[in-house]
Amino acid sequence: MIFEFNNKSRAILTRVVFSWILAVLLYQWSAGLLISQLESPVLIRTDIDLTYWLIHWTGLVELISQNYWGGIVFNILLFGFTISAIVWPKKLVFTILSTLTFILYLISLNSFMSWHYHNIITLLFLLLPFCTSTIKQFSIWFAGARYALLYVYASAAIWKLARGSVFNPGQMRWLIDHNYLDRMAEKTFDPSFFEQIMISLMDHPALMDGLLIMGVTMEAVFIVGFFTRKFDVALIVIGITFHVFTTILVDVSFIQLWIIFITLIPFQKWTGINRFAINRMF
Amino acid sequence: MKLFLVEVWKKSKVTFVLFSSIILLTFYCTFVQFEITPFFLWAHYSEQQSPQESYERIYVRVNGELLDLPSIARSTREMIQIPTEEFCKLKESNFENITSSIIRIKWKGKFSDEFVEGFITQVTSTKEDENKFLPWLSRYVERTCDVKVETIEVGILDIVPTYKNGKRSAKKMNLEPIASLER
Repeated sequence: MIFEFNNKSRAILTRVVFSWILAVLLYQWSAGLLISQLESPVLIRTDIDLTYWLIHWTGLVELISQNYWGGIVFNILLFGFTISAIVWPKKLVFTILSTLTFILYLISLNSFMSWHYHNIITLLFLLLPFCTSTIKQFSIWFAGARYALLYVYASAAIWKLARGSVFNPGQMRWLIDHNYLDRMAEKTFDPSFFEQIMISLMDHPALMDGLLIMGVTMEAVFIVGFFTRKFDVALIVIGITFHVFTTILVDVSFIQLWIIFITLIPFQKWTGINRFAINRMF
Repeated sequence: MKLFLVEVWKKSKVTFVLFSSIILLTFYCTFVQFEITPFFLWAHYSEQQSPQESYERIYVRVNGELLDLPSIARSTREMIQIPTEEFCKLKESNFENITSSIIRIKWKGKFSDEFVEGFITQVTSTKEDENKFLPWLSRYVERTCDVKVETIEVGILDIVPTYKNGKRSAKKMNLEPIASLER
């Protein structure tokens, strides 16, 4: 059953989601990763991604990256549209323009970073519903975004099972080596509490392999969501726990993506309880 | 999932067609292992790997000192590290890369050579970028690492895990310079 939102609840969701986008952009700013901060990058890597080809072919990426003022104007638009979407959540034009500039930013950044990183661009699935014009379409696309989220985790587990990495002895040791040796090779390396735990884990191969199987199982349970919505809250808890573990184990938090778990909130169930009725709240 | 699509069909035929197309294209891209945004592949860390005796990494030497990359925040570090890795690979292949090769093979005869080469310049790194990379890296390192770059060198090295007196560590070995710049 697709939950039908109303204008007020959609406006609240718009504010929540675009505030998160604003927070992501502020973090990118603090990390020196806005287009105007990249100092006119030189290398481009688009692989065989036709979307990247199309966007580069338009000349927009060059316009905003190879010219200081182009980058500054783009930043103003990127932040301006996002803030406008928060201030005027019912104005569709701002959510659409914010989404478009955000995607242009991420494709540019990924191209210049020479790596098509999924840690932020996956938010596209969540932003699309906010680009629809009617409440009915919004409700359908929001429900669709939930399935996209389920697919992300379920397919990640299936890839690891299909390629056999989950039961490959030494896989987790390689992962830890891969993520920690660079730090350990620095003379100034002073391991934190978690890093000490990780380093001592290297002496317990069975435990490491067990952790990997547990992690893949946590991804695999998202398959359940395709058949029932009963466990959606549990999936939120599992998803966040999974990312806390990946942050500690392999230094990958994907924290920018966590807002996508909003699609698993059982609005439908809560509407049945007057006290928490989402649509009546606003 | 089936019920969801049935419900979508009942509510909006156009959206049903869009969703079905997205699902089919996602499966197609997964099947051919070919990523086209937004049809992503979620295959990170799925390839079988084994612990190695050494791991190849890039290094950046600024004013004669190796840059302590792990001490830089991850997202900023990646903007230094990954393009440098890409640069080292491109130098090794004389700036030939898979994107430009595929475009030349697939589009040969279909479009004019001028268009194809112009397109390649727009979507990939080319030999002309070779001499621009280190000046760019110097500017970016100056901005993010708060250091005045007078000389910069990039190259590859091996990181070797070590185990001594019950203590795990790692050391850098076999530094091989790839390119350098004096400003």
